[in-house]
Amino acid sequence: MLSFISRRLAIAVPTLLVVIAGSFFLMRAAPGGPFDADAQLEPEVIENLRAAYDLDKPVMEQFLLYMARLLRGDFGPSITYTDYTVTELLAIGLPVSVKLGLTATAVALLFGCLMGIFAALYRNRWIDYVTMSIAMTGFAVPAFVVAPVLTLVFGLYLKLLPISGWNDGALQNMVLPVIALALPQIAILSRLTRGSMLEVMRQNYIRTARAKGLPEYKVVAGHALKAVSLPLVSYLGPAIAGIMTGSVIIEQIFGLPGMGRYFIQGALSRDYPLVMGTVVVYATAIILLNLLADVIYGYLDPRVRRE
Amino acid sequence: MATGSVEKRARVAPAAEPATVLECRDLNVHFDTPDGRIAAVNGISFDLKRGRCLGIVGESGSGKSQTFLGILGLLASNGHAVGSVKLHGEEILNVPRRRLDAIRGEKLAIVFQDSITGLTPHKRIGEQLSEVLTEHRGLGRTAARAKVLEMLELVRIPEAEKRFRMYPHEFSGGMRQRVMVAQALLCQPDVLIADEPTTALDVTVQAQILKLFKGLADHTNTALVMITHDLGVVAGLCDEVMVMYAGRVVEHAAVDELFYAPRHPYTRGLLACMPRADRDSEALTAIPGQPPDLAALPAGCAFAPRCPYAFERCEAERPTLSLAAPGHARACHLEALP
Ligand SMILES: Nc1ncnc2c1ncn2[C@@H]1O[C@H](COP(=O)(O)OP(=O)(O)OP(=O)(O)O)[C@@H](O)[C@H]1O
Ligand code: SF4
Ligand SMILES: [Mg+2]
Repeated sequence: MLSFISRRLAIAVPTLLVVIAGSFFLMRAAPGGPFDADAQLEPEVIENLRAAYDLDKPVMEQFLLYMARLLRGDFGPSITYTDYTVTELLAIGLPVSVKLGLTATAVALLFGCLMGIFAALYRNRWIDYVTMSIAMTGFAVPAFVVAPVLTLVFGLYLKLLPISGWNDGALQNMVLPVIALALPQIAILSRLTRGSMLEVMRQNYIRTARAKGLPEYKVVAGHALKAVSLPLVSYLGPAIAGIMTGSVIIEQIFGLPGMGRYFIQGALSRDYPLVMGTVVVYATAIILLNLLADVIYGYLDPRVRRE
Repeated sequence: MATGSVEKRARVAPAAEPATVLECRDLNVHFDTPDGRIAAVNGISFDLKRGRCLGIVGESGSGKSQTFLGILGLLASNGHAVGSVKLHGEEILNVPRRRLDAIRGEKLAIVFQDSITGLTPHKRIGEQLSEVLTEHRGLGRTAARAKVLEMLELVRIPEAEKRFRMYPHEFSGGMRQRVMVAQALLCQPDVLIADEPTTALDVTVQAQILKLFKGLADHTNTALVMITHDLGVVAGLCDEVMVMYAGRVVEHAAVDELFYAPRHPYTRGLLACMPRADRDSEALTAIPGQPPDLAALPAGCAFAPRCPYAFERCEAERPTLSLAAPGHARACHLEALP
């Protein structure tokens, strides 16, 4: 297992490099620059600013400079938030996004799996139809529609929950963003769980377990669940990626001070170091969490553990 | 239904007839499919006595497996069993799950036909087998382990200690099959149903397993149901045989009786297909034609399209199982085979 992890980490390094290089050059290729909006600035002031952020150098040199700094753990200064370094901004944004993302993941897993298992156990009965209809809806309606509708109903009409703001991650501020973020994943996970459960319960070894005289709950818990969870674990990587990208939109809609907001703001104002900082964090998180998913998979399925 | 059981022909001194363990009466199994109802098993009756062995033979799809899956309550979700099955005089067909759980694996055990895929892939072999003993006998881990190791050695799993901690994918097909046999024997069941238990095994292991079954029948009171394509296995192991065709029993007799004086054209056909030492293997004949479609069975004898002796009555009227000689039942309109 250890050699598996270290090998995967070794592959992760070039992957990360490619992602960083790709984003770096793509961003420079996009039209506009960080100081375009400030039309009132004198040209020589802009020149000085550009020089201060190394923007006057050839792109390749800028990249090497950036990489050299990054290796020392320095994300550089933010261009728009002039009083902050990117590291400081990430330190503000990351905990917000992590808390939001983890809560949404947990909620999605809990509800997705439960709905899927019950839908499978009561196949073609009303529980099945109701859960799968919810899943279809959750799957079909995008987050930028769900979120405003939720805000409208629970925030403005019913006045039950605040419509925006973080408030240090207070429960009432978390509810709506978490629901909006988890909903599409609940939809996918419940369908995935249902399918997996139906597939596993058809297997010969389930019949064997019943033939041994095990009660059904032991058959399901002892012989089915691990196999049922395998496709879910495989989906964990994409699910996490989905929640992260979803978070970018949701943070914007609910005005939450997370990574996603800095990413969007950075991109809009061409704050190159800020965007690069968020990209590096996002990419690292996705790579590590995918690795975690693979490790869990290997733990669950003895057949892949060998390799 | 015509037969209860068929008396075992006295090979040895006719001791008192052993007690009946399993009594099956007029068992039917059907499946509901989008294309309509499939009657896979129709009106099967038999008695199984202590320490005796009943062979079930018949072509693929004749309903051998579904008969016993029905008895055990293990049919696919679209399957239903109707009739009566009594274990030690107590009804067990369509009883609540809790009742079934107490019987399955403890009094009624089965070795499945496709046992290669019958073991849970993510659970250690030792755990899977021990579970039977913890469930039915309330044994602790160490006691269960000792018993399981003993049983694994009995079915000739080499290095049982090491194998105990392994996963199914680390076992060969033949070894998995033997593990399934060991699992079924753990509680010394009153009835052991073996559904083609030797098909995946090479000839030597096959012989060993059959010897094990034979010993089981002779030394314990376990009654054995041997489902097989191999009439040689039946000849060597069983006391009586039921021949099935299209979900019905077409002949039921003591083994010697059936082999030397078959009374159904289908049985005769099966016997003719049997490889024998005195015959060139190339002379092997298969019964010409295909087994019938269970969803569209003819009104008369299901074997009629393939039967060399079929006459008008066969197409019009379905023959019922009736005694042709003492202890020898068959379902055919012919008084005697030509
Ligand atoms: N779930 C199901 N739905 C519909 N038909 C089924 C189902 N399960 C079994 N059958 C049908 O029941 C019939 C009897 O099957 P069975 O498994 O008893 O055959 P068998 O005699 O054991 O054959 P084999 O020697 O190949 O094992 C087959 O024609 C099969 O197609
Ligand atoms: S009833 Fe007729 S068709 Fe059927 S086996 Fe007998 S002779 Fe053949
Ligand atoms: Mg079968």
